[in-house]
Amino acid sequence: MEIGKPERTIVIEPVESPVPQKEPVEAPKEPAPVKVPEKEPVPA
Amino acid sequence: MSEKGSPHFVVPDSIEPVLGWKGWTLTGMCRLRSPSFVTAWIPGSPLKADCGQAVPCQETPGKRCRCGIYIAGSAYRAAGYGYILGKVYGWGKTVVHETGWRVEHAYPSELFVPATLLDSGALFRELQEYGVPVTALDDWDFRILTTPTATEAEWVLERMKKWTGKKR
Repeated sequence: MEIGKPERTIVIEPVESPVPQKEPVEAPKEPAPVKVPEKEPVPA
Repeated sequence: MSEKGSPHFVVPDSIEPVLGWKGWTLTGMCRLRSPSFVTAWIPGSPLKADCGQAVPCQETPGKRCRCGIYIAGSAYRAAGYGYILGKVYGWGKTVVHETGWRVEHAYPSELFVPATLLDSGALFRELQEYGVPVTALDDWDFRILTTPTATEAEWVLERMKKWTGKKR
């Protein structure tokens, strides 16, 4: 590739990576525990 | 990226990566391929420059060597080096040239692909793996994108004059 003559050398350190980060896949939410209704005491 | 406090830490001249243009072909696995080398660009990881000389440079891009990842300053200069065009970020050790850069690390930021190549949809899905926007261009769009600016046209004319002058 023709880019002409070299002029100077520099160092570039990006603060954030220019590589796009893949969004983490969210783990499927666990269903809320089902509350089992307590048995009412049977009157004697 | 060098860690602050490590013996290899160098105070950077810039924290902004350069943004230029590059042309690619494709490997059999539909990965971007640098025009002059067999190097495939892997989605999700930056390409690191590698000096291909028998006695490789200690640091790439080298001062005396012409190694490094080449990035052009305009789409016009990158066109002709591959049928896929794209904007590309460059960083790390960087040699600034008259009309582009040679860099240590690079990753595409946007891809432009001839619409005819994207017809099947399979290539589009493969290119999306890079995680950057992929745009289909018809012939007309491609020509507009790669039209030289007045300054570039002047530069080419100057080069041609010098070249034809040398031949005489």
